[in-house]
Amino acid sequence: MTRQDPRALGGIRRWAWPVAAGGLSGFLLLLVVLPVASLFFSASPRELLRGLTDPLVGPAVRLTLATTITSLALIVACGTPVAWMLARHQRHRGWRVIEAILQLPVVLPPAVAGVALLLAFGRRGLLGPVLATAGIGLPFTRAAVVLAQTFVAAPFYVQAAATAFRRLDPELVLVARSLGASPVRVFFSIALPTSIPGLVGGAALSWARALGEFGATLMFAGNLAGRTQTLPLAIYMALESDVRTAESLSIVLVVVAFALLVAVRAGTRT
Amino acid sequence: MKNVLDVDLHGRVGQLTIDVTLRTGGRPTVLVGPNGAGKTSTLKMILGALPLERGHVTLGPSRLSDPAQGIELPVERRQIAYVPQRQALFPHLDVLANVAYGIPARDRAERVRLARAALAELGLSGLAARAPGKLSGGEAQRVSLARALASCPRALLLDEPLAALDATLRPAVRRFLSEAVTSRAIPTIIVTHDRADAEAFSGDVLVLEHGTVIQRGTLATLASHPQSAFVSQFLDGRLPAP
Repeated sequence: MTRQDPRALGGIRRWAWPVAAGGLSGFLLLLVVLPVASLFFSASPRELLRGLTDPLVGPAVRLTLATTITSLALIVACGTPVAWMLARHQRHRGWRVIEAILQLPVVLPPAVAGVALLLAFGRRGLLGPVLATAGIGLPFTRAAVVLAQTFVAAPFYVQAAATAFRRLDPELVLVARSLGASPVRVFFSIALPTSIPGLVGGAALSWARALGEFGATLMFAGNLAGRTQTLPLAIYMALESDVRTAESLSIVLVVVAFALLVAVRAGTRT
Repeated sequence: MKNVLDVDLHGRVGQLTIDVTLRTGGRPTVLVGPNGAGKTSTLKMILGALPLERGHVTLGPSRLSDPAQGIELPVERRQIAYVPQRQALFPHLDVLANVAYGIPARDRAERVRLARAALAELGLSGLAARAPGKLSGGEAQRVSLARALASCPRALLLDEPLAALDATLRPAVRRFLSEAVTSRAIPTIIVTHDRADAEAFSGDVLVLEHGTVIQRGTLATLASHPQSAFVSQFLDGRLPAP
């Protein structure tokens, strides 16, 4: 029995790793690139432009913009102070529990989120009777779309904002306070302006997630053209009648999402 | 009684028990000690950033901390300015805005005017429009001190203000700090590793080890009976830079 030359084995080992790593990452890259590229190349530009004239498109684009901007405003308004508290009290057990709860929607399947929202705010849900006596019916309204988007997208902003705030040097906070600044003034004059890149990055990520929201919206807000039918739902509808329209709308979403991704990367690099 | 900082600190920070009494008025107090002796914790207790278990912090006629009486004034109401070792300037504000930040005037124009005056007084007018990132280490520490003094503090705490600087820059910045500080006659505590700082500030030296004061006095009295190996090393200028 001849023993293998150890140097030859070393040669194989030297090549095996780069080849395996190259092959595996190439597979992942193709899996992402191929479908996205086929969105752009499987139809002529004219067909795609005609797809955009479908009557589904206009209302869906307007509704998506209106609802995602509203939910983003809601997320930033509520999420920024929460993120600041999470960053300031990261050793405090209560705030750590709150942080874990706020992260839950990231791992929750959107369909589950939809059911949960219905069971909380639906007509027969936990708060349904209370809302009904106040004359409020949430399910299948624009407000429901906004709530579903806020539910799924908020964690992305809160996490990014808390990370940005944690990067703030505690010495700066102490110096500001020793110069007479109240905690509120420290927040607005030091913490907020020095954390802007991280906050903008988080907002972009959060917005991208809200733009793509499908499952929770479908179950909690329904799929009513002009009322609760956002772009992802319109794509789903269009797929049944006209593939080109679905394709055109998908391209719109891909371009916007990609622009947001670029913004995130630019924001987090500084 | 007016210009005296009188403290009696007992408290725990992590594993370390702090037990420090000191009184400083006319001349600065120089706080020295090995790493981890509790120097910065002492400053932070005086500043109100760390709680006391017992004792008090008294500045002139006012009690700032006194757990027995339930007194614990927040940092921002103590009027004690704090100059840390580094990274002290607000990075998003220019030098003028940094100095204006702590000036207790309601009117913005008035704050800017006073900030300009504070910079001029210390010969730093040329830096007013600069961003902190564009300052040298020495310039940044001078601006940091200008900002602290401009806030009209009733006491001043300097935490190794020269340690982050190049050895070649230290003498000039040291002279700058000691002149600015001694001319104000406000109670000042300066933490240092460097005998030259103690000489420049010509104050009482307080040696801290394991959270307690093991020796106090002038440099001369320390030199006559050094109480520990650390004290001898400090006096010989043999301490390594932190």
